[in-house]
Amino acid sequence: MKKIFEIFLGILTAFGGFVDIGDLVANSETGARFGMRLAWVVILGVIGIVIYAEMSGRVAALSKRGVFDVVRERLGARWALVNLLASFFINFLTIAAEIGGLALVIELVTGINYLLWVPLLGIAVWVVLWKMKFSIMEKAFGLSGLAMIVTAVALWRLDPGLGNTFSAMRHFGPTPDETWATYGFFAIGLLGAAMTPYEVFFFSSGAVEEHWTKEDLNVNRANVYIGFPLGGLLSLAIMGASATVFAPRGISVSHLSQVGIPVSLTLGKVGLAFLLFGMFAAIFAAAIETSLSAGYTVAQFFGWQWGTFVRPRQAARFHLVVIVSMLGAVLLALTTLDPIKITEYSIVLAAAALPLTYFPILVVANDPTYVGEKTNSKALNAVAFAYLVILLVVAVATIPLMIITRGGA
Amino acid sequence: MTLRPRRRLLWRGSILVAVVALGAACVAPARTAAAYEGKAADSASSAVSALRTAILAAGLGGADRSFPPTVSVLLSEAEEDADATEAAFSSIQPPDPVSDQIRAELEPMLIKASKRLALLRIAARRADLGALPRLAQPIERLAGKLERFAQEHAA
Repeated sequence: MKKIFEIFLGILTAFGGFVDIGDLVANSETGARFGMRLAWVVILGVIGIVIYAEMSGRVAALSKRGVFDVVRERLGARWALVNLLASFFINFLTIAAEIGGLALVIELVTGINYLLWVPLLGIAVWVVLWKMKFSIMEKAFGLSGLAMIVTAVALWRLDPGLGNTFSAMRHFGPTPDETWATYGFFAIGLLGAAMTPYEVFFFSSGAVEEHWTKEDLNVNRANVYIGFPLGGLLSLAIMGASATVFAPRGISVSHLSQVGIPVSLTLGKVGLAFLLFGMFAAIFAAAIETSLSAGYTVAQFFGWQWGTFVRPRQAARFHLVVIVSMLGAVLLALTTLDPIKITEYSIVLAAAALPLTYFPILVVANDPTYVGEKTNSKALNAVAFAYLVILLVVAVATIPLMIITRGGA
Repeated sequence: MTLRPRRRLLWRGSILVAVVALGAACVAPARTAAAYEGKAADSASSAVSALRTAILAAGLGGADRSFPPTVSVLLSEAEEDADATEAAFSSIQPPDPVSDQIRAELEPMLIKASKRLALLRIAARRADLGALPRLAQPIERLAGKLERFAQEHAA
């Protein structure tokens, strides 16, 4: 019974923690500009993250080592360094985006400019990370993030009609007033948001933090096979609500404040309160995850002691990297660069770097030295390889599309 | 490849990425009448987006379906967007007399949009949410005009 409860809790945590500032921004913007015509990218991204997160969780549970640690050993320092540089840079941008996003949520509640909240929230994230136990921290924020389900309720109340929604999803290609280049650029952003590299680093390192073993592989599968797709459905609900309210009015989404409009229209203040609470919790969770991921990747690459399961004194360099990354991210957020723009760039650049993150995971998940007999099946390898090809195409296309579309303008 | 050229390559690559990222966010000048017309249509669409966001926000505020600070932030951001659109469009050099006409038609509408949104923002910051629907009434007509302009001048 305890095991079932643990699995159920894990699923809910994965569900509530799936959506972060990148998903909120990418799905709302896309829904407003393309309706549901890019919903297939969310589905593609969710399947991709499910496949690779399962692999990274399995590698971590069976080898009892973080993915970066294993990648460095298996593929050598040079490949791992390229991976580290790309991942760390994108992760750093993501921390700034998450902290900026948190400040924007607080601004919506208080009306006080978000810049005043940025340093305070940076400190709050660090205090939680420093004081709270990993498992409590992960579950508390993940479960609170479930409050964003109000978006799905709002979509149901907006009543776009299930048939209309599915019919809109079947349209492949841009709307008449948009170009294929913009369509491709937004598709890349959505894929980057769904398959953000930090998710696998955090997921695998979290497995080590929670001392997963072979017996926990079912928890791993349940989290990713059920929790992540449910999170993906929430992303689609955000896109659907945006498509229903904004697209017919010619409104483009460029602020986090606009994300709450469909919920306010249908559910009033109570719904909005739930949404803001859920957004705060989910983005707070993501801020913690990205900050920890900065420490995980660097510490695992250099072979330092890492994790919150040991005393800070024993993992001093890991904590130093986390603190310095957070401080840098707070300073970046304080430059007055729009957090939404930082988010847009972080998810698009994340998409460009995806092969660097996922190729090594595919290699180590096939190596019996790390996973014993639990290597990938042929079918899984075929799908994972197909994804790598897609990710390579995406990586090559990202920068040219960014130039052609002037950043999706 | 020795270490030094590789580092140089890495630096050049990083600079290229930074330039591309910054360049992607800039407004390019319009060298032809068609390009100018396209930018005018885009500016009108952006203004429509800001105005219709404000209409929704005003409706929510008036009906007590959102929190006053949230409505205030929504309206402030809509005004900022409209101001930015107006400033960006005004800064583009019209390349010929036809473009001058387009500018003469669009610019007053963009300025009007900014002014209307400022009135909404002022009322919201004074917590006078009841006044918002009344202040928002003329905005839909202006949004409709801008939308027609955007459709007529779209590429």
